[in-house]
Amino acid sequence: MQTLFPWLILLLPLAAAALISLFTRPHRDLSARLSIGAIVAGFWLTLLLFALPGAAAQAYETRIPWLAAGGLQIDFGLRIDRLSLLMALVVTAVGGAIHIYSYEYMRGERRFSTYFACLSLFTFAMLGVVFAPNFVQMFFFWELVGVSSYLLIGFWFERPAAADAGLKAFLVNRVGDLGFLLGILLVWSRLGSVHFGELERRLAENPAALGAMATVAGLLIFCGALGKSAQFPLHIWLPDAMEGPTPVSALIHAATMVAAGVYMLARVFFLLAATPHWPAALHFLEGLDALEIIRIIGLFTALMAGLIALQQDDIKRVLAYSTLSQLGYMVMAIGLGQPGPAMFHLATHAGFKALLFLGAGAIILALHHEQDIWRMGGLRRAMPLTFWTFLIATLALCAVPPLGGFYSKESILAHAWHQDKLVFALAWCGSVLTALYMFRLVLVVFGGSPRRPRDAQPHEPSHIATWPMLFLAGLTVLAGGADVEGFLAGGAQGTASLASRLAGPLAHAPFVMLAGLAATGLGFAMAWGLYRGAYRDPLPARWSTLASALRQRLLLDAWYARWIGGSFEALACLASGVDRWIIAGAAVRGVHGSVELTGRLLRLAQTGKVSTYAFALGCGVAALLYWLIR
Amino acid sequence: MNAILTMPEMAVTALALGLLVLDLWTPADRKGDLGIAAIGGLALILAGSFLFGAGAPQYAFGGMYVLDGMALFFKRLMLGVGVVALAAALEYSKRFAAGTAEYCALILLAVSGMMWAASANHWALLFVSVELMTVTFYVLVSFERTRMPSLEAGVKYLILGALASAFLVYGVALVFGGTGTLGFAGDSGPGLGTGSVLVRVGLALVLAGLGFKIGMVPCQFWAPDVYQGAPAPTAALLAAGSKAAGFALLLRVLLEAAPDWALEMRPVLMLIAGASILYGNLCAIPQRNLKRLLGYSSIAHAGYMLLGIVVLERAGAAAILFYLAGYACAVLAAFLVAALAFDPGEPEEIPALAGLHRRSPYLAAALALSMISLAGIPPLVGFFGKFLLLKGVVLAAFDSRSFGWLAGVALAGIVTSFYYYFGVVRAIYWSAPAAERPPIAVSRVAGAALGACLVGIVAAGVFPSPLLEAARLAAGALRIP
Amino acid sequence: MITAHHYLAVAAMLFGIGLAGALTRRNSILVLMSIELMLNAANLNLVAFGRQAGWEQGSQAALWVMCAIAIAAAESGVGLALILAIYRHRRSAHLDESPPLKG
Repeated sequence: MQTLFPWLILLLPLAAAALISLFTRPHRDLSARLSIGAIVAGFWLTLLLFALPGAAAQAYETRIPWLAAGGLQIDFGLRIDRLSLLMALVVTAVGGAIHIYSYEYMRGERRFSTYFACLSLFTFAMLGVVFAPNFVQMFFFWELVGVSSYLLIGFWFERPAAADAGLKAFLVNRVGDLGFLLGILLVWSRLGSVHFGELERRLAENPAALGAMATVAGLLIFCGALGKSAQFPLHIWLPDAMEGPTPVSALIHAATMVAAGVYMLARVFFLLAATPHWPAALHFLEGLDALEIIRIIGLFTALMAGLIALQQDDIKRVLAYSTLSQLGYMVMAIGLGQPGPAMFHLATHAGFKALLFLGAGAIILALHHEQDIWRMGGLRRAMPLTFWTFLIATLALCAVPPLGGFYSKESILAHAWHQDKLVFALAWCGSVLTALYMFRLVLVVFGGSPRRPRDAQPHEPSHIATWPMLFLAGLTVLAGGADVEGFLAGGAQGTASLASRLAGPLAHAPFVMLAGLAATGLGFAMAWGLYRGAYRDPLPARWSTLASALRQRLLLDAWYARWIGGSFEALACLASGVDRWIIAGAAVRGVHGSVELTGRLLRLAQTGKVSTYAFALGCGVAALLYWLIR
Repeated sequence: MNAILTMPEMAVTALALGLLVLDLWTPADRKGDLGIAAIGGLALILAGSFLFGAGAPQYAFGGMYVLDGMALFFKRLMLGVGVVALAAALEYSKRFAAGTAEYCALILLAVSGMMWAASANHWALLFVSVELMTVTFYVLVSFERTRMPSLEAGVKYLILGALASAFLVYGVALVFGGTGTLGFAGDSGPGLGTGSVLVRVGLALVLAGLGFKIGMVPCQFWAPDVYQGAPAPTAALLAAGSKAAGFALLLRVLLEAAPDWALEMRPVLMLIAGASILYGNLCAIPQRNLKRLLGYSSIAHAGYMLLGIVVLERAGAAAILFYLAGYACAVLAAFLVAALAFDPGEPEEIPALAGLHRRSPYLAAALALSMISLAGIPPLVGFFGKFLLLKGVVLAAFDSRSFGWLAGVALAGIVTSFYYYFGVVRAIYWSAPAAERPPIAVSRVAGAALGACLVGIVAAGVFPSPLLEAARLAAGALRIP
Repeated sequence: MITAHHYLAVAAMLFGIGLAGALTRRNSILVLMSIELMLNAANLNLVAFGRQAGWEQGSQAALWVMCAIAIAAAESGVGLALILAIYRHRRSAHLDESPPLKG
């Protein structure tokens, strides 16, 4: 059973995707049921694995030979340990809720079955990343996640913005993934294995095994997370990816895909924490270790995204930048050397951020695809259930006790306090920002009076959509009682009583806790002062430069479009220019000029291609010979 | 004389000649059957080639001809390529006024030339097999003699091909003068005496001649023009078959016959590889024509495969063989779609692919898969090939920093290539067609050939071990000192 | 006394003349003829080296020269047919006249 269950969890979504795309495409209901059934079954099986005596206690693997040729031997296996079980639970629980919600949200969609096939394919890929026991398999599923998210983000491909967003997400991720691939190759060539357990063992035996490339390898692998978890400077794809259907945003951008980067970092944490060492060429970086750089990038992303979120008007974009900011906190926790708190925050964040997205989806549906928060307002009375669940998730995000988000964030802040006061201070500022932009959202969307046409009568979605929201709200409330860190650390469960765990932050780090609460209070007070009953954003009037910079996302996107897109085109122009002008023009004309004099000048202007090519071929051979004989 | 060893080549040649003879008695409306017969015959020969085991190398014609694991690998690859190219030709030749059987026969002759090249162990056989391919391709490229682009491509291929042949044969003459022998790696053991200037210069000229076949810098200029102008099946055969034959010869010459010289030339080879990758990928970005884009990308792929040569190791050779097989599947699929998705006489513009997924979901999916595989995204076969090639270079980077640069250039090239490959995918699925066009009917033969390519792309990507093992065994037959 | 070196020098000159012609001429027939010169230079080399290398290798080289001449004939046959076909289209044997395939 211990080997059968993980295989079933992984393969059920694949089977669903295959069945839907091959057979049941015309039957909309059946397709959706297959897809939902697969992930819900996966959820129960994961729970059973937790409950099985001893299953969660010890890491084990099940594998079949996959690639064997010469010195290359890679198995296709599943690694089941506390980390992967926790992540699988998050994916199947949150993912399952989103699958069910999608059934309602996508009801009128023409390609309803295709949508569910894509969802199942995505779930399969994501679970593949979770259970992967080695780098090659992880990279495989990592890319499959990329491809299936491309399909989902670009699902409404008739809209150019959606198509562009899908492509952008895909391309930006590829950039990070190439670094990841190079890192894998580096680790493989140095340590002779790609298997996580084996790598950890070899590195423990000989901590200097990575040699001069230790830090470079760690940073290259971090590149993969940089793309998937949308950290600066590869963060630009995530806000655009909000063009996908809202449940997709909830699934990809809250619970699973973006969390994959953090999960991967936690999985290979032993590599990142290897003795820092730089190759001779990068000697000037000596003294900086990989974790430090990761910490800085995470912190920077958290602050930058928090700032940008302050001035976004699209409800989904506010949530997108909030996701970026929270991912920054997780990456920062990894950088602090604390994968436990990072995973804890990942788990709680998956729940409440998915809930926020589902609430946003309900509002968007109710208002007929209106996403501008300044045209909402006063929804508290029209949609009470959405309001309360949204509020719970907001409170969790702002770290209000006793919700799940409070414990995970306090844990990260406490570690920051112990290690680096400056990091703590900046992270604290991030907490103020979090509270400010979230309460701004709540006050503008739900508070005040309605700012929409009179005839529109928003109402709650049907039960199929509200149940998943209630389920996630329940998870968010209860998550505070879960001892995720202790579970990951492998300690026996249930040693600490529930009460002592709930009061934990007060006992361990009372100052940090109080500071955190003060940050939330400050943010709330600022939001209350600025946005209670506001009809439009007061900030642009007061600080116009700052506000417009934030509205334009600190100009980062424009800068990228200009420089990266531009440089690609410039290079291409250069290459064809070399072809057209230097070879065809200058060189050939020069030779001709000397061989055949003036009378042919006119004809030379029409110098065509064959002769150009022949001439270049001749030049190439001449250069080759010169190199040999010189 | 083990002439029996040459059975596969002889059979393909006989098939071609038989086809030409039978054509005389076949009424015009039954010409298609001849094509089917050719496909069947070639498939039979492919099946028959599995009767040969890849044991110890066997020689024929006094050591001119060698049948070892690598030769056998290449022969199977080329027979497979030939079957798919014939299927494409059968479909494509509907737009010719006449000459289906001739076109098929010429493809068979080109395939036999490639097969001879795979077994070449002597400069004479190398030259004759290369010329058999080249001269056949002159006709194949310019076969649509009523279309000016086809003729123009033919002339370009003719002039540049003949020039490259002249370099090749002059180089061989110099090598012969320096070593006093025409065989390049007899039973007595590999290696030419490569000390003298004559041999070194001669080998450089040979490199230029073979470089033309694989389309590497600085012999790459013909590729985009010829790919664009030639009939799609010809271009498919050029990309998948001719390039493979070039690499077979290059592996034999560089790794078996003249390893010392290859070591000396390593910096130049690295430069060529990097330049090919950059040139092909950068020039491909602004392209609008699908076949021209594939032409530029073929230059880049030649560069990637040269990465397997510059490491001068068996593992690199194995990676090249794997990559060639995967590349053949993907590029054949792409050209098959190019042959089917456009109307006769219509230029193969990428924007015209808009709405292809409505006109034929099968063709759209096939082209998308092929592009994704060419871009090297897992789990398709292109990923593993690039992975293996890069692994060799990264390993070597520990000894020499210049390999690090090469790896960086290769990665930059791969990133750049996403830009245009996904431009094609985007055009298929995500752009609005200018006008509604009728659905495309895909014939059974073409559909099956396309299916075979797709199975290759996906299966060898998800379960690479059989192909990898075959490539490793084949590379094991190389006599690297 | 005429030695192998004399042959080599003549061959090298032939090759050079052929290459220069191939690179500078615009008329496709002339280009083709220049390339034939280059091939013949190689053949001359082979025969000269073959005489040095002794009977066994020398006869192989001589045989190959026969092959090469036949192949060159085939090449120019196909080439001339191709040039003729182009000539029918645009009434000119010049290369590079407003090529549609470029860029």
